[in-house]
Amino acid sequence: MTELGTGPKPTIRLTMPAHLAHTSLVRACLRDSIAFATEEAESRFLLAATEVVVNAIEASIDQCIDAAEVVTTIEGSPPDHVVICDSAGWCSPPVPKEGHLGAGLTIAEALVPLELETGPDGTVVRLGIEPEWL
Amino acid sequence: MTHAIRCEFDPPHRRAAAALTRSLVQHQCGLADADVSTTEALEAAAAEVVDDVLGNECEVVEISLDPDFPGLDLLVSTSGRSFAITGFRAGVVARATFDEIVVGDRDIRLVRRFDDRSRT
Repeated sequence: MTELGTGPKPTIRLTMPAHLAHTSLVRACLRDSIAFATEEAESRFLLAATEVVVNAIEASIDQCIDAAEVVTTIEGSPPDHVVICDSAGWCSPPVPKEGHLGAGLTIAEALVPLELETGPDGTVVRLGIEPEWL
Repeated sequence: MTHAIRCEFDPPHRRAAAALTRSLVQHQCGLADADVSTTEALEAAAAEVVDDVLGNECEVVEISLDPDFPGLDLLVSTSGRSFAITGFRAGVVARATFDEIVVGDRDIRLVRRFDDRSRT
């Protein structure tokens, strides 16, 4: 996880308890902070980010991590990446059942450039923002 | 504040912070089952107060709130020097809307407790 202020890029960082009730706040934060050129670009990115955030929250809940938090960082001005971190260990997605469970990362990868780093201390997902989307 | 929702800005930021203040207030009002008129009043008042106290002297470093508070407990931390609510309108709006306003050297805390009249 990049420490705030140590990197060259301007950042806005939202830290919240890992609770599904806060998912909408991430969407609001991204919408407030990133000026997408089109509604299609905004919808695409917000859907991908929401899938990743929900995965992060559910992983934290499933692993019963005390005081778990999910951190969403908007990097750059204009923004070029959104990084979503949690402190849960990586779990392979379940085999999709009835076409919806375990498909979050697949959906996000289909919508935006995505890099995944996993480790015992948590999972970091970097979502790229293409310049033409702004 | 444990289990807080925090929004940090690096470098300190004013314009994005104003929009995010509104979004955070709206989110907390939703969590606390506030009614529409209370939500709109708190959003507008928080934005008015934050805009007034910031003036041109400082920018926002961090906004945080306690999601477990039965109402709104919002803390706005800034990069600037001492400040106060100077605008007449902002002062009137703030006193009419919040139960508690604590102005510190580099932050302002806005508290509103919800009662039955504030909830849906």
